[in-house]
Amino acid sequence: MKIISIFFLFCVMLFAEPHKVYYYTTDKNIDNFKILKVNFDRYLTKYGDYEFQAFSDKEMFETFLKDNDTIVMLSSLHYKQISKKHNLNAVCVAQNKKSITDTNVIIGKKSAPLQGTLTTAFSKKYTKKLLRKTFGISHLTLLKVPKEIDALMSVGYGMSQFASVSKSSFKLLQKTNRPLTKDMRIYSESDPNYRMLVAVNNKNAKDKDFIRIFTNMNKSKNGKSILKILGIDNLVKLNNTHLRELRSVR
Amino acid sequence: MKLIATLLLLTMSLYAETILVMNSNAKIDRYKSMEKAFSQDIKSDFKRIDIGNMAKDEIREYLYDIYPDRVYAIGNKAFQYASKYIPEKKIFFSSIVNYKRLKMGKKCFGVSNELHTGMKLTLIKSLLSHTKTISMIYSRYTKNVYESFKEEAKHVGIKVIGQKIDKDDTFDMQKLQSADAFVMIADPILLKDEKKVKELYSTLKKRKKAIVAYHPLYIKYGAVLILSVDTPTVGRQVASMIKSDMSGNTFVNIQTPIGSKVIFNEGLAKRIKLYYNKSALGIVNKVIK
Repeated sequence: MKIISIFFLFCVMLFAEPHKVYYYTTDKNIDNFKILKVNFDRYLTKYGDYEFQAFSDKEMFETFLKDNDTIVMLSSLHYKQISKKHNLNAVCVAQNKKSITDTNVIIGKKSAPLQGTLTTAFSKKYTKKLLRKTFGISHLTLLKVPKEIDALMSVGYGMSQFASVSKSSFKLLQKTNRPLTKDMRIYSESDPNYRMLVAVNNKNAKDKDFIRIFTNMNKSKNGKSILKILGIDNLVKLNNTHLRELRSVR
Repeated sequence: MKLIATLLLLTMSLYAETILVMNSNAKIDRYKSMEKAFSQDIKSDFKRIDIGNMAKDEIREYLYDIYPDRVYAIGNKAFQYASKYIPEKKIFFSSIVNYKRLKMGKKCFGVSNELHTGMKLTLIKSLLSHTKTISMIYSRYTKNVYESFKEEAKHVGIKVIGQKIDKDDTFDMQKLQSADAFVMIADPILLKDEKKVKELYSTLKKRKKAIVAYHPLYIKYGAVLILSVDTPTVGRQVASMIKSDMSGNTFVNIQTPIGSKVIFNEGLAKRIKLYYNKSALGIVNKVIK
């Protein structure tokens, strides 16, 4: 009997699926998921049977979400859209320069006519939403670029007329190349959004050891590499106020 | 009713504007990636042809048969055939080395091959934020690039130290290594002697100077930062120009690439004790340890 039990346990262990950490966000354009996956898988090994999987396609990402045992890293805007459907609970949020929120803006040259091209590092769907809020109906041609700094410089050097970026990227460019930004202005701002979230739909939502997997990232070499690739300083635990705010907009 | 619908469809198809993508050689990765990104973004029907293995007469015949309203010519060969046989049509181009030396008609539009000098300097200043001086080697062929660097560098608080070279000239190493970083441009005289380039890199590395280059190939020689063009964005950029043209929207006729690909050798930066702005690592596409 004991042998059968051991064999059964062995089989369970052998065929058990690892816990997957699914990643999809337009907050940051990463063109080499391979390096991110290698670093993540290496980092997660010391916490148990976890496996990281990144997606470049939103629909594909969503088809992989299960009703339980799902761990995801996604933008707060995306979280608001799907958290109810997949019973997701946010546990951690990305932090950059001590801030866990960012504001997205539409930038253009001062007194630019409402025509031409808008460069964006966000998804086209989100950009269209931001545009509708700013200008109502517009006939701007959208052009997706790899990074926010590309979108901004494209306006600065006259290749496009508008750019959709985060306010922090605009501030960084203002600091680096003031003359380039002196003729630009913010046309509209979104409400502050939480940065990328880690969310789960299993019992781990309140498990301190589980949450430490993410909040301890800045304490190890591999973890730091991941944070650098993600373009953030750290992942921090959401407090009750943040959670209430996130729940209220579900 | 059916007849009217058929007539309407026939009329529409008669007036539908044809786009032709003409690839100089679809086996070349950068050309392939431009075409792929263009195809995904254009949202209009188009025809495509790879002229890599086609004879001159075949190309001419094909162009006369299709007689497109707009051509997206990828690479020199495609551009030259399109502008030779159907110059009356609108030709959009990308991946042409030094497009300024080619005869461009009024109906030619496109994306040049190199990032805007100002973009390069802004990226350098964002990441290697302590850079106050850069050195460069240029010749009569790249004097305009050097002048452009000198002008744009003022905006980011950088001084440019240049050495002009001619055939068989030796490098003034004292001058070149006096700057915080060396920025390499694709100068034909400089590139002609690979041994000299290797020696240059080796000396600068020994002096713990940062080298900024334009192609990932130079990482193995000792470049710390590579600033190159993101080729899929070029394809999307041309698609955006064609869409703007078709909808009567304004666009800049000749553009510089707006997508950058940044590779940073962080391992080397640490070894040579080079200061870099960690909060700007978000602008880097690939970090080498």
